[in-house]
Amino acid sequence: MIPDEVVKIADDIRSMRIRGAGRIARAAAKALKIAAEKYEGEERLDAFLTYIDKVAELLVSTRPTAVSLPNAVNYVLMRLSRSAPRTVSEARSAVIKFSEEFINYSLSAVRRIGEIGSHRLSDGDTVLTHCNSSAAIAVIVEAHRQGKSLKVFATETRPKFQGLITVKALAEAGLDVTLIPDSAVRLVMKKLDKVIVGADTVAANGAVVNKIGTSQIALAAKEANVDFYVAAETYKFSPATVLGELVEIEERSATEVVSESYIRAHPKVLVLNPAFDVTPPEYIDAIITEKGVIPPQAAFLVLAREYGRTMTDLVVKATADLEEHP
Amino acid sequence: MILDTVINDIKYGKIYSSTQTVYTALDAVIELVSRCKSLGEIKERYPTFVRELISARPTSAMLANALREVTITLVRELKERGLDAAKEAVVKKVETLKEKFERNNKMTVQIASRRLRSGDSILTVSYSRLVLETIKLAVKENKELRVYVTESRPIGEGTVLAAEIGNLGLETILVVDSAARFVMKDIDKVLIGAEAVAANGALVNKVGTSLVALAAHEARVRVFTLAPTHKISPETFLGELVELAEASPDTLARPPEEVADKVKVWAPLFDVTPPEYIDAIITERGLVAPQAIPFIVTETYGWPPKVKALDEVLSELEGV
Repeated sequence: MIPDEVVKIADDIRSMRIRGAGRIARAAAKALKIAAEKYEGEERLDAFLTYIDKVAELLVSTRPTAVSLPNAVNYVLMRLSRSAPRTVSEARSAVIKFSEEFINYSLSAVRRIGEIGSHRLSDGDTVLTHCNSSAAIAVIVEAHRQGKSLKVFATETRPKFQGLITVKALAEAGLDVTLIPDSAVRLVMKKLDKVIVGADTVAANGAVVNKIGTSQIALAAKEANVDFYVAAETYKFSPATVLGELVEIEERSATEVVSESYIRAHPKVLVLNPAFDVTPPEYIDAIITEKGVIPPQAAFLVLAREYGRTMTDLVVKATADLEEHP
Repeated sequence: MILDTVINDIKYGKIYSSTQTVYTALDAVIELVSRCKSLGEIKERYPTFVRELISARPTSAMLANALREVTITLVRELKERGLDAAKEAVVKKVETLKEKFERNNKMTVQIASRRLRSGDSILTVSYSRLVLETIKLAVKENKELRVYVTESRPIGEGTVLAAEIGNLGLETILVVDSAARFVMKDIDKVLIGAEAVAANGALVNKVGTSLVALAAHEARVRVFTLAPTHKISPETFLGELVELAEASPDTLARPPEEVADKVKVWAPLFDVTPPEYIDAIITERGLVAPQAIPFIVTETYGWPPKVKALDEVLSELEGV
């Protein structure tokens, strides 16, 4: 009953054919829009709302770590519920409208981060980036467009080599870019002026959850007194962490790291393949959002301003749960 | 044995263990010497070949140390007893050196294994024969260990070491290089091999080592490096910097076709870990602080250290 196209988007997010927190969020919004357009169930409002909830649940279940995914889904659902639709047709239009609104918002946020972040890069800077972040790339490309001469190092980003997507985007934009192995990030640090990475989730204390390897790059940057920036749209800030929720770090399949035959031949070797790690706020010089540059410790400000209502809802729900199960 | 292949294998890190790399180089030197039919030929080919070996692996203190000793023997024998005797002496010298290295290694491994306690979780990088031997000995002593190994790109030899440790029946955990800091909170000790130890106690080892040592330092996890004295570089006492070799660029993932000519690739093979991130260097003469390395060196080379640069010895050969 969920349209094939929507199921396919969910599969693509799960299998990482669609990857990067921003792209995942936009894909989820698009899936909601398609689901609303293709709804063929009963012409009863409650049936439609149950259907949309199911689609939302499917989308949110695909990847556990990136908060942009539930935030995108919540963005649409919250506005849907606030619009108090009376008919299926009203609800359908609301989902379509708010999904489109989110996608446009997300794209303009990345552009705005590019503009704001570009001021942080100076002519002649050498910059390192890790994995593949549209926001981080937007910053570098915008600074380059302003005529600043930059040299960029990009990590391969094992196990899935997302660094290759990054070097392609940067080279096509005309940047001087060098690919390095992840193991060389401390060695390269003395050549660098700045590090800029994206984020999957920003927690309430300003800790940044991002691609595995980010935290040791931040550590090496701190050691070498190199500025470390995170480019993150506000929908990557996690309201649930305010309530003490820990961000779950997704562990992915061993076959991303070694071959099936290696796994079969060496049953005693366990492959631990965490997709993300947590960079503590004290290693981050600033988080660049579309609303402005903040110190990581001010993440709560973003959460209170952007998700005040969600956070209140969460508190109300948590309190209700407590009362139900004291 | 094809001598050019040996040079390339050494240059691009095809032989994982640094000790094995030196043994391969020494065997190649014997082969070259045995092929030389006259003094003139040896004077022409030997220095060139040795310089190629050194430039294929400029980081290896053990290689420089071994080749220095072999060359000194060769020069002395050529001067005193002629070509045939020199050939024989070189074979003999290599044999003695290997025996000495093995003795040093064995002692080092024994000292290192005493540092491991049953229940320890160890993290190691790259492929170190000494680390493997230490783990084997600890297992023989009935210590239960859990060993984490990083993949160690660009070559990826960590996967080979993980397989060999797994074959010992130990719980072995393989992670990508990026996950070193992530797993550090589960680690009790970091145990690594050595390509070279410099005069100030800095460690030259496979790229990524310094990052792991930094993450260990941050987490207050002890870092031990296994470096018998033949891994100490006496040249660094004369102010020489250790030159860091690079792997072949094709060891990295290939950038997409459309931008292949625009994207540069840098695949360093080694990095330098500062002494303050190393808790102890384990040699056959005992476990010492990195800052005490000069003391160990004076025991071998005197004070001030009397050591002939390899180039100097090679020039002597050319003058025989």
